[in-house]
Amino acid sequence: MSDCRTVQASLDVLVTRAKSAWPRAVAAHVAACERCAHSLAVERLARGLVAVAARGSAPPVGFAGRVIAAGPHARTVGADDFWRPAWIALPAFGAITAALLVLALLAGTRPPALRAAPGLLAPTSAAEQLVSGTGADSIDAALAAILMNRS
Amino acid sequence: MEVSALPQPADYDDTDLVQQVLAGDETAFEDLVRRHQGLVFSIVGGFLRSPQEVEEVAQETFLRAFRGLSSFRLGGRLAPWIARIATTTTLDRLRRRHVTELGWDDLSERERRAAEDLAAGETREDDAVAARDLAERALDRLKPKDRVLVVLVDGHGFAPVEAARMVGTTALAVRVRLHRARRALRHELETLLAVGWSRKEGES
Repeated sequence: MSDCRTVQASLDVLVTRAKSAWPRAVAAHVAACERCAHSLAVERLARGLVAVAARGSAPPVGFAGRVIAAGPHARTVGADDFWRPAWIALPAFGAITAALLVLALLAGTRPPALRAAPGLLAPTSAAEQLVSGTGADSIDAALAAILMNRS
Repeated sequence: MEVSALPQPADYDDTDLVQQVLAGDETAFEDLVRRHQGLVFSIVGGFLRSPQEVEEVAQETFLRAFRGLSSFRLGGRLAPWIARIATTTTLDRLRRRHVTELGWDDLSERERRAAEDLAAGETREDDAVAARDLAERALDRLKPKDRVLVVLVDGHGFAPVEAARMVGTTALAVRVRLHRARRALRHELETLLAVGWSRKEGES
C-alpha cells in the first residue's frame, strides 16, 4: 500500500488519469485515506473550475456592427473627453502665466494705485487722501487724521 | 502555448487592414473586429460571466485597440497585441468588482451539485451554467491579476512568459503569482468541500 506523501506528490498525475489506470497501491491508499481522497477531490474541482472558466464565450450576432455604432468614428463625447482638453491645456496655461509674471518683473511695472475720480479731487481729510490714493502730505498727517477721527 | 492556440483567423496579414483603418476606412475596422472578435470573446469570456459584461469589455477592447492602433508595429502579428489589450481591459474591470462569497451555504442547489460532480471528476453538460457560476464565485476570491494568470496559464494553456507579456510583468513574477493563486484557490475549495461533506454526513 502506498502512503500519503506519494499520493500528495503525484496529485497532478492522478487527477488526469482514470482510477483504473492508477497503480494498485495508490488506489488502495486513496480508498482508505480520507485526507488523500479529499486532496484529490479539491484538485479535481480546482482544475475543473478553471477549465470551465476558460471556455470563454462566442461573439454574439451583430457584435462588429455594434462596435462601429458605439465608436470609434461615431463615439459620443463623455465626461472624460470633456475634461481631457482642460487637463492638457493646464501646463500651457501655467507656462504662459509664469512667462507673463517674469516679463512684468523685468519691466519693473507695478499694479496701478487707486486713483480718485475727478469729482473726489477735493478730499476733506488726510485719511481720505491716503485711501483715495491722491497722496497725503505726510504719513504723520494721515495718522493724525485717524487719531482725531477716533477721539 | 501561443496566442495562436486560441480561436482566431487563419493566415491573415493584418498589415493592409491596419493601414486602411489608419487611413480612416471604417469598413476596414469592422473587418478587423470580425477577424479578431472570436479571440477577444474567448479571452474576456474566460474571466467574466455575464454576457452583457463580456460584450461591454470586448467592445472597450476594440475601442482601445482603435485608439492605440497608430502605436502598433506594422508587420507584427495583431492577434497577440489585441489579446494583450483584451487582458488588461478585463483586468481593469475585475479590479472594480466586489468579491462574491464562496461558502457552501451561499451556493445554490445546482452549484452545490456542480461542485460535487467536478470534485468527483464528472462533468455534466446539462448543468454547465451552474458550473460556470461556481467557477465565477471561486475565481472571484483571487486577486484580479492572479485570477487572470490562472485562467491564462492553467485554463487556456499559455506559457508563463506569454502570460507575463499579456499582463505586463515578468515570467518569474507570473510563476510566483501562480503558485500563490493555485494554493489560495485550493485552500478556498478545501474549506468549501469540507463544509459540504460535513453537511451531507449530518443529513445521512
